[in-house]
Amino acid sequence: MSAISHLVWHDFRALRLPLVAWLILLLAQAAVMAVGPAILDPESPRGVIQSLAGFLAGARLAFTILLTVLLIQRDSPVGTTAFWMTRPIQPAAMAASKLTSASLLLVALPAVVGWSLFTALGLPRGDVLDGVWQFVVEQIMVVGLSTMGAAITATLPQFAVVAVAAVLLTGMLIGQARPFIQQLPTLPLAGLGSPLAIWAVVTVVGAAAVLAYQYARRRVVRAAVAATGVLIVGALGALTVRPPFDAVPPAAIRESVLNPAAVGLDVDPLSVRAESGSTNDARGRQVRYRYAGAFLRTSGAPPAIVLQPWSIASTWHPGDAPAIQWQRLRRAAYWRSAQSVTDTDGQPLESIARALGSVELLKPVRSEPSAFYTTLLSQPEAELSLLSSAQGPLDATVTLRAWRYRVIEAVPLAVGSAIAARLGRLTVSAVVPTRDGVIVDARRVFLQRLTWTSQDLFGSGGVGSAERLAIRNTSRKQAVLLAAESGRLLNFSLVGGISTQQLGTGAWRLHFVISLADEDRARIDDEWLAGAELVVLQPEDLGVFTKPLRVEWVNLEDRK
Amino acid sequence: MAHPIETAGLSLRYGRTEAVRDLTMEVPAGSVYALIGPNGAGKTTTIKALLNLLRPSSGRASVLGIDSRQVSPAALQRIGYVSENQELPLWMTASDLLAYCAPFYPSWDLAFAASLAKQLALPMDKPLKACSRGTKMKAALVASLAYHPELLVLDEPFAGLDALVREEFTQGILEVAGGDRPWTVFISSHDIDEVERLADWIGVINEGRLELAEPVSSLVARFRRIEAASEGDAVLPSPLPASWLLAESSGRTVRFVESRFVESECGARVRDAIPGARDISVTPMSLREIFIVLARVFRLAESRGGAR
Repeated sequence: MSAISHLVWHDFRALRLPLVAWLILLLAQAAVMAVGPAILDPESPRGVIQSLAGFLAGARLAFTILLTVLLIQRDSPVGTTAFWMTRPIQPAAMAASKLTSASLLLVALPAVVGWSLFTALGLPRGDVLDGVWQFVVEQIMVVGLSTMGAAITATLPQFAVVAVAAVLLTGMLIGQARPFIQQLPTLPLAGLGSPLAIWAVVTVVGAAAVLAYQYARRRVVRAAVAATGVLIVGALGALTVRPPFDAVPPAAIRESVLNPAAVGLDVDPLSVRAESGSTNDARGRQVRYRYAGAFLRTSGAPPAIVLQPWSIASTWHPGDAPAIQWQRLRRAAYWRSAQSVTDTDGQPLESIARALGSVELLKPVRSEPSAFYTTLLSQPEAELSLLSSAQGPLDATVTLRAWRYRVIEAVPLAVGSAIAARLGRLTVSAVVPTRDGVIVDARRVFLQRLTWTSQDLFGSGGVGSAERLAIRNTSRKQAVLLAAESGRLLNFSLVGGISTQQLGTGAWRLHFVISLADEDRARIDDEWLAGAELVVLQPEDLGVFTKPLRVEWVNLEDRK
Repeated sequence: MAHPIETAGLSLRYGRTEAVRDLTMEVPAGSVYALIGPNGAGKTTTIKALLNLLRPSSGRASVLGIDSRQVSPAALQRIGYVSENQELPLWMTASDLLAYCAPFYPSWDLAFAASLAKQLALPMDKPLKACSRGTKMKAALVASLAYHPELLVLDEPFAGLDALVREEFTQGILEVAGGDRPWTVFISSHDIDEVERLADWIGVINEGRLELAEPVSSLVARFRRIEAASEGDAVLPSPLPASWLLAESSGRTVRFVESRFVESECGARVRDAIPGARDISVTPMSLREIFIVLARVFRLAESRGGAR
């Protein structure tokens, strides 16, 4: 038995009682995650199960910190009285044993429990791996930070003081100093992954170095300085990362799919309008803008294909002033501002109907899948005020992205059916016909991916999912789209706010609403439901191409 | 360096406090060297510097020929250490403790550890946290003797132990000392009674300074309590002979401690200093008495501004 395994074994024995509590905690949390959705009412107020899930997630975080501190401080590298210091134990072996023990008990063990839980709950294999990785990153982050604190303190109260100082320092970095930090050049760490992953990498490497240094040298002040440096570099690394929305540029469309020359692009002149808005710059100052938008229409594409403005480069000629250039390049900005004319869901229904097998969508809408409200131009009001005239024609080059919906999965609409949907897996627990349509209750196991930029750290992030849910009766060639959903979540982790993904389970209620017209209600009967399927659709990217666009007149004058 | 422990000009500061001052000391091989001094004299600090637990501010020290700053795990395989301040892994039983330590020592002697534990009546299966202080110290002793160290360092090992445990502890050390392997014991204590049986060398430390260091036999031989009567009222000579300590007179009697006692010269030297002195009585002193005398001398010197 090597010295490291000998020390690890004795660590396990020394902490056997806390470890039993730790295992019970992990299993209790898994049990609540597994059983909770069956008990939860998706539309009830926050209940005992949710409170219990929150408590257990918090307890796991606290226990991770506590066990890390106990593990290290029982052979503390601080002071002169620790037993190991006068025994022939290599400091490197001691540091390695602590890291090994922490990795096994506080990272690997919870990861195995999480993996087992989400596999048993039927989460897709890819999502299980992604989720477990995310979970591992979170645990590593907490263990790493706690390790540094424990390495420079001899007792729990001392650790608590250091932890509070570290939290204040981190809060100051992220809050007060963020505007200035974000003007710094992006760290080369950015290529490594999500901000949390980068922070975790910096933390785990730094924590290992601080721990090894402390065991070898036992210089508390120097180690504390190093730990502070690791904390700062980690936070800076996370803050200066710019997670790209499109790491891979969209590919050009193939002519066999769609001939761009056959596609027409124009603007509805009546829809061109100007509005005001404001945003905050990097220093937090408010800047007021005026921007012009319009509905862009495409023609010539098959109904199943959706053409969405992806980016735009505009040249505006206001009065006799020099031309003003403006462009918007990224999908994120466009995705949020893109809406169809009449579809309240903001999605092109014709493509969905085709994907579902040319069914009739039982929701009376006038489908105009190729109309998108698009920003043509945006200018600061301060600059507009310098112009003698803020009106004139606009020429633009619009990049259109082509995509179409396709059915990913279809299962019978029956209790027990499960589909990969809503960023996880839904298992139908009840199908309830109502006067207004159909309610489907489901147990949900999810891996929620949050798309966020570093500006959103500890703030709100956007949930990225482009899938659609529908119920379909193939023999009737009819389908109903999901109109509304609600649910109660049981989060597996407390630190989802700073991660890109979050694991959890929950109870979900899906409302498939149909028209109140008598003839529609008559159609959704028991026979219809007996032959129905629950269907998941997702957009399939087909490629991009550019088209010129002429807008005869854009007026950004302030009419007030 | 020939000696298992040597220091030269060793100093160690805690902030503005100088815990050890210019300490020069040699611990002869094969000796049982007792470093004695009052609480706060610098004994523990000296030991921590020797074992590389603290870094000297200046000067140097060596242990088993190794610079104290370089005392590594390999060196610790040759050194035993028991201290009242050491944090033992209290969740362990004595048996656990020995099993924990054994793999780190190539020379670990299972049979010897077992016999030592038996001799010390060490309960092997009781968690140390439930044991008395004496039992914990005995467990630490066994864990520090089982590999036959070349050097055993004991830092206040008897503090807080009852008489029976002290006896057992001492017997444990003597057991090893009686073996055929050469070894050196360095023991710090403020309790002279306990080291008297063990030590053959004594170093006296006070306020971080080593005040004296010599074999016990030599020390005991040169200290005597002297009492003499004079013909009239006793008057102490001025200046006092440098070797006379704590001299006092009462009526016709003069009392002092002679620190350079030579039997053949004693009477003549007393009569030289106190003409007409008669009835000179010479009483041998125990190590404990000598230590108390020295402690009082040091205190007097401190109260007089450090002059000795």
